[in-house]
Amino acid sequence: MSTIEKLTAAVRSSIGSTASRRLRSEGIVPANIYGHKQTPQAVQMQADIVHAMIHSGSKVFDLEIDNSLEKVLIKDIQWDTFSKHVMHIDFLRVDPTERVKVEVPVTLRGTAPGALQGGILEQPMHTIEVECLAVEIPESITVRIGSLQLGESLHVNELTELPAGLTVLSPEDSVIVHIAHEAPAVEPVEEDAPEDPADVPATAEG
Amino acid sequence: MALMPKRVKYRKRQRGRIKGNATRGNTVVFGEFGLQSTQAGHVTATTIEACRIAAAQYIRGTGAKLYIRIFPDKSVTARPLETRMGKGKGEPDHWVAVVKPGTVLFEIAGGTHDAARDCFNRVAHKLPVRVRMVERPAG
Repeated sequence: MSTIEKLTAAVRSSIGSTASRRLRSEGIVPANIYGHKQTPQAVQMQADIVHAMIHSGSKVFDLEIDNSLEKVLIKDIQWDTFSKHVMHIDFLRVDPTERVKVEVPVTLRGTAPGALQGGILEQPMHTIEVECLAVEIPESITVRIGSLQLGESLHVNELTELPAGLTVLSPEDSVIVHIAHEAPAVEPVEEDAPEDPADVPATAEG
Repeated sequence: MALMPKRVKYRKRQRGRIKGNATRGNTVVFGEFGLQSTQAGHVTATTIEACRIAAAQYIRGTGAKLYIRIFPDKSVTARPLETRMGKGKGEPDHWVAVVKPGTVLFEIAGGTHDAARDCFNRVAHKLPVRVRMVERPAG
């Protein structure tokens, strides 16, 4: 469950990619706050505060901006190519009593007997879209796979350990986990595929 | 058999330059662990196949699954041996995938962190670019 922490941000007067790049070189992360049909607010935060905020596991924070307090939800985080530095953060204004739509990660628990019998554990769904109160966003949704046999799947509508007051928005028939049969060692050769690199046909003259 | 396109619009491509970092295909999407390039380069279809075999042999029976995130869609031409210069551009010789810094080349779903690291270590020895192991970000 999310715990609400208090963070500090400052109003950002310099707007644009060049100004944002300069801020990042100084260890400051540009951010924006929007929502509730109010004017979007450009803010900036210290990079070390941002990293602590991301790794805290919480999603809702009290953001103090120039002596005013805003309750915000992390809507989006932009990372650099190597996922080391935060480039930008989007915050959404929320009320504690407001229901919000968020993506919650799936955590698998247990060992599937099917995987031990030589099956391959496939997880097409790593997050589930849910709707819940802003202050009750779970850190993750636990999925127990201890009874999953070879060839069996676990769908969204088979989730049992959901927190109270939480509504799942992802399609009910979506597969979360699947124990697939291991592929044969020899792969079938496609007959229409060219063998020689020079044999690939062109659809245009060039 | 090595990967190559079934059909292309133009058979012969210009070499081009690889500039900048990868802005797409730079995150782990399908599995839990990924092998991310930190250099730019061309990875040939033969190399991808060698990597696939090395990884498949390692993860066989462990319940893990390998994903190949790159595809060799660029043709490289070559001249036949003992041929004089001129007479136009050579015929397509092999196919390469253009890799930018940040491109996730392979992914592994299932298995432990140590097993994925050992598997990627075997794969990394076959690649012409420096790589690092990355994990799916929590949440």
